[in-house]
Amino acid sequence: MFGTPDHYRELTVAAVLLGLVQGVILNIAFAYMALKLGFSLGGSAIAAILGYVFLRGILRKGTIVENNINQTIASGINSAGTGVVFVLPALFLLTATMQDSLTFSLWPLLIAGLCGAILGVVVIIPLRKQLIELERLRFPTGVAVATIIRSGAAGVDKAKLLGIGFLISASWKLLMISGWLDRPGLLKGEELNLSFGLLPAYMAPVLYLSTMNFAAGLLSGRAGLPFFFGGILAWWVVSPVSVSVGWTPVELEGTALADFIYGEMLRPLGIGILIGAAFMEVVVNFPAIKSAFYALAAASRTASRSMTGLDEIPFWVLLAGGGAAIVFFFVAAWITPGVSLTQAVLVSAVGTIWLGLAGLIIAQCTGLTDISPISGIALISVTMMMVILNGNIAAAMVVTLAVAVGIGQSADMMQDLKTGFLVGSRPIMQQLVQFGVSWLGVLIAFAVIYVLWSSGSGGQNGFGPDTPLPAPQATALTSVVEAVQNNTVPTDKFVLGSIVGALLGAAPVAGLGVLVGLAMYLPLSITLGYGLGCLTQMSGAKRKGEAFTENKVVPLAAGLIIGEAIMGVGHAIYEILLSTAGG
Amino acid sequence: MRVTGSLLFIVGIIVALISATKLPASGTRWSDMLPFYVGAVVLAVVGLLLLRWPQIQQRNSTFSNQVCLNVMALLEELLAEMQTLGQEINDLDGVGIAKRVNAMLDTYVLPFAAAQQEVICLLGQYQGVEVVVAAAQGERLLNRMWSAASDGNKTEAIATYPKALAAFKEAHQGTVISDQCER
Repeated sequence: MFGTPDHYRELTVAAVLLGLVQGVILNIAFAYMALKLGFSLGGSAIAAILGYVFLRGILRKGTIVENNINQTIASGINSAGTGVVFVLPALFLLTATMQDSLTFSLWPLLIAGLCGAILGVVVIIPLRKQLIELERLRFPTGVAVATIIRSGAAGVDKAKLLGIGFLISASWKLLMISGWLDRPGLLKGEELNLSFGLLPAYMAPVLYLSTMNFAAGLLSGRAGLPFFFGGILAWWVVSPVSVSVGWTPVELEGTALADFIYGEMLRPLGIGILIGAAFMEVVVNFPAIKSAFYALAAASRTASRSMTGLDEIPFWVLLAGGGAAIVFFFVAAWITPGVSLTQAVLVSAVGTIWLGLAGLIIAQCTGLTDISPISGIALISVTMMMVILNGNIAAAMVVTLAVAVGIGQSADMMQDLKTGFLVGSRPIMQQLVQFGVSWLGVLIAFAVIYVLWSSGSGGQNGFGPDTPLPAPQATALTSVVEAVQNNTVPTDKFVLGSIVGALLGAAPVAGLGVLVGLAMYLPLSITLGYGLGCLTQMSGAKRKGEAFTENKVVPLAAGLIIGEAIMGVGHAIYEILLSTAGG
Repeated sequence: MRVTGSLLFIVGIIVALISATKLPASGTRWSDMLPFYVGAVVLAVVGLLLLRWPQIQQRNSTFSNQVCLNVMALLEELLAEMQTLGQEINDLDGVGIAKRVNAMLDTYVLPFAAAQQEVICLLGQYQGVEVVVAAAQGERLLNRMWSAASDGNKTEAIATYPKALAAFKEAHQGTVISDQCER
């Protein structure tokens, strides 16, 4: 038996310390990994497993909700670093290429990053009821983490299914990484070619053999189907029509043609749809969102009389925190060289509104599919801010950094709150710890990036193209900055896409716009695997009922997600060690 | 009307997306497919209006009353089950409480959650949201009871019980006072 008879352990010193230690380690490791491989991970699953081992196994007094606090802190610190890693290296790379024409100070960026961490939590907390209780978004990783945390107590059957899923997924990932199954023209880099010599490359007949992807679909079921259909629409309708009517350059063929369609047509349209859909969903759900705000404010006033006590962070704390962050956001913009007072006011106002909307987009994407297009939002942010700031790159990066950190926090907070809902944690505890520690992630990521950059010859160029740390996301961001400077931004795609997104967002199908937008933004290989998961879950639920899904499919899918994540991280660490050893 | 609306909406969206794909000619901001795009958007808007219309009408239908009654029945059965648990909770151990809570979640709470969008649709945004949010609070508190009971902390499970009961009573009360749910 765990826990004392009178006090139910939740927000404890052990949980906070363990979360802090794990968060710092994950932040450093994943910042390095993002520079090396171009992606990062939330770390919630790892933190939950280690929390289980430490709090329950070693201390022998940990509880389910205490472990939820531990993983909330760890993932909060780690995800704050992810936003920094996508943006800050781009500025370092630009200074190296632009020499004296671009100078910047780290202080405004650091202040903006800290403001972003606070604002990301502030803007999303009032939407907890909307996204988790009303829309009941799935948050596949959030569900997986809840399954881990509850696994010991949920019964042998569920624990077995979790373990089976883990073993299948980890073994499969290992098999894929090893390349033993690779066959030229059929299977390469975990992607199965389904063209069989018949379908052209511009129809993207490729299936990403990821168990994690499939499992996210398993957890989403019918709700995720628009994502699948969106991918089909993009690649099997829009793409072939564009080619057949001659809208693509005739000299392109094969994968070069597919890359052109993806990069110049579908991806920018997808970003536009995401923005329009998110905006419309705010409008359509306005009464519910307003009601949630009122409930939050009322709960703050009546907490002392309420039976449940104060369950949400007080509204005045959110207002005070948000207000202070906006003021510092303004200061960060103003102290950036070349920014006028008017521009600083405009940037802090527009930046905050955009951060709120983008936070909602990312939280919805994560909730619906487990995929968060942070890099896409960062690209839009830098484009928008460079236009407002007359091409001032350093200032645009200040806002982009705040937005990237903020939206990462929004998605992470909501995912952890979903886990908390499933295990019965008090939301206020999770919100307080996220508020209290997320800034730490920004500081650590800044230090890691600064140290790595300075480790290069002459105190710079420690990462970037032609180095052991190629920083792919930062390189993509620098190319967008250059596109803005050359006036080649696909504004038409963003505008036309956002109108379609608004229409889809107004349709009476939950998450339709966001899912279709995301499907156009991502390669079809991901969408197909996810769609197969959705169809499999629907088929199982139809034959065996909803309880079968909750009791059997959910733990199995959770195991599939965790297995691939753990094996993926292990492999990344192995690769990094290997390349470090090799010089 | 629903089928026509769906058809117009889907066709409008597909045509709009296809025409939006074309890149503008060099030196221009928009492609020459813009008129097609505008036409397709208008088509999709008409489809959307036709699609939304039956939902507005549905509020007064017999079907909606049936859904309401089903939801009320679920909540009433859940409340009865919770009252019984309240009488027996002191005699149960942690495993027993967790088992009972799990059964309530599977039998009543999950089916209610599956129908909650219809509840909002029928009772209207304000009333519907109140009912669903109260039920969701109850669900979270039941989850907490389960966690505490599984952790062996019976005191917390018992302390959480009245809060969960109060939340579900509030949800039930919301459906009772609504004029959309008439027996």
